[in-house]
Amino acid sequence: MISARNIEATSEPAWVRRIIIAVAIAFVGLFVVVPVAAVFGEALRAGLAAYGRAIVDPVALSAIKLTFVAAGIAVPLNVVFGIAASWAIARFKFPGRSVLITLIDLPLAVSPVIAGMVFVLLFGKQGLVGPWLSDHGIKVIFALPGIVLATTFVTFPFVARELIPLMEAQGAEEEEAAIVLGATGLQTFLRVTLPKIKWGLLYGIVLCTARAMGEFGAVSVVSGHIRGRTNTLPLHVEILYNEYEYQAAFAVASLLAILALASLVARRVIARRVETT
Amino acid sequence: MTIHPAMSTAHTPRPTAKATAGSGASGEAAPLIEVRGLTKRFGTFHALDDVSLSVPGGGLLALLGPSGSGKTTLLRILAGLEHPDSGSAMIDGTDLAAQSARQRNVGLVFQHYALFRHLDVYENIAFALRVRKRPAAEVDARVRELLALIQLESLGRRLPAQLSGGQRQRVALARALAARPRVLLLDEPFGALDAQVRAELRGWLRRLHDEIHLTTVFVTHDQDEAFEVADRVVVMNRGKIEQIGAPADVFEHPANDFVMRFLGHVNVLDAELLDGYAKIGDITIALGRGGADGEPPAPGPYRTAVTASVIAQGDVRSRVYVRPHDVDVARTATTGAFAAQVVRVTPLSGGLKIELAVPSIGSRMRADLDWERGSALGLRNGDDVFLSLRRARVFAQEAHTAAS
Repeated sequence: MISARNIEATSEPAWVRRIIIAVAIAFVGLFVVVPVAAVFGEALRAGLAAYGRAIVDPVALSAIKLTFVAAGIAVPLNVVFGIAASWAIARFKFPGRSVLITLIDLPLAVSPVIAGMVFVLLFGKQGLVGPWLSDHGIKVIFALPGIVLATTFVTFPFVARELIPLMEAQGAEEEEAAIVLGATGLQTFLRVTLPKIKWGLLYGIVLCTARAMGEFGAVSVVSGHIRGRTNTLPLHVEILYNEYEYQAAFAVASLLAILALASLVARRVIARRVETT
Repeated sequence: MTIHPAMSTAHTPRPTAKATAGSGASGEAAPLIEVRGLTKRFGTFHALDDVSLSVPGGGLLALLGPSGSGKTTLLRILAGLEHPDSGSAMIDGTDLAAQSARQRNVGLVFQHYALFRHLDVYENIAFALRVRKRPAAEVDARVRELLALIQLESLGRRLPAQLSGGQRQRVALARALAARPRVLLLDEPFGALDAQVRAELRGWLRRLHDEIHLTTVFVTHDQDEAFEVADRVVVMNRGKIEQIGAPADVFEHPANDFVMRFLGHVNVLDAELLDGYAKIGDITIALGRGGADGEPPAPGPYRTAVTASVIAQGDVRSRVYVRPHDVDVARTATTGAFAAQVVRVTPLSGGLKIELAVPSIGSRMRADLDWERGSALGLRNGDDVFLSLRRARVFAQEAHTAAS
């Protein structure tokens, strides 16, 4: 009875409630459901055969491969960085700690295009270390290393940002217990720390992977758009679109949409596990 | 050493499986903890200030003090989780500075258990053996032995989150004992439990210690707990040791006003010290060196009454400390008794707590009477009574002359 009255006391008249709900649903419909449906609708407009052709096209396949390779390198790098950074921040007080916390968020604050340009400035032909690198036969810009660098930069906050609050909340008592019980540093990490953070870590990896595969701006600047060589999936979509290959563009885009939806489901499932542990 | 009542039960080691559960070395020379001049600062805060202490092998020692007194820091230094700024700590003749936490083989039980949340009870207890890569059969035998010791045989597959507080505490203890540590350290072992479980576990810990004779140091802020479980108590305050002794010694012969105040309720009365007398309000009580019941003065700074040198200064202001059970309440006036009014009567376990207003000294006092005496008096709120002090203490180092 009391709770029912409380709900009444804080609730609005029925017509207000209906309007608020309608506005929310209309927004989601207009900006999420309709565009996603449009992607799949356009992709399948010319039938399944055309859809398949767009995807098994050699240039498209090479873009898919490059996207997975770039994400496959960037995500593990960011897992290592994320664990190290959150460990340092959650467990130690050191000079520069608050600077590190702020800097981890930098990629989220800086426009990805600017991030890409920074790498061009550093590693390009006229860049700071570019000439030295090209003298030694190392190509960064307009090549895989540049794409990996840009992807890594843009996605590095995701794992660390998941782990820092989690590790701060969990404290270090279990690790202390493990060490007093005779565990080495590595044993403590593998047997105690990793199981404690695994769901948060997985959540961070899903976010990081989704972003790594979908990244456009920074990669666009450093890639050079060489078909079949330095094009990732999002860049390939842009090229097809610019060439009026709408159906093929949407077919490839639908792959990205499927990746996004899959990561959304994974996030829902994992988020529930993070809460319960 | 004074025999504590709790120690009088079954003190001889029994040659059962349980008897060897915690100390692989029962019968051999027992380990000994020796701490010398230990100092530890956190910034400007002195957590430990030149602390020296030794724990006899097989002993059960309580570090008793308020929060911030340094007792947990001392425990963590012994475990290797903190490093002292100066001073040394030895276990069984080995300097701990040369050993990392994982080499020391001490058992540590954390206040909040710190059980591995993702491992079940069995694997929590097995942890120390698993990281030492012991054979599976040995691990299994040891874990079963410990599960029996903590009476949780049927709960081996439960996760810590599925256990009650008392069960978690016992699992934490079994986990600490698994690798047969040289010493057992417990940080506020019962701090997070409710009163009934605490009382039960205290008795259990004491019996366990009597069985396995593992040298044990535990930290507590609860004097009842320290007195009931330990055979020696170290009272700590602001990073220093105030007093070390058997529970009865510390309680009966507090070294200073801090110990007096910390160990249970005490009436503190402002007084003027004259030659051999203390003047409290409008009454005067005689001061003897041995106290009212004629006991001899204890060694150290403790006095049941002021020393002659203090009295000789004349006109000294100080405080007089009286335990509630040393205050007698009577219906009729006697010489040297305070007139008082009963403010409140509260039943306690074993007697009555009487709060009294004493107009002549302008403050309240508390008297604890046993049931017999309490019911014979039949006190009610507002009754006029007379208080006499059976035993009062004055601490020499607290006295200072009125002129200064």
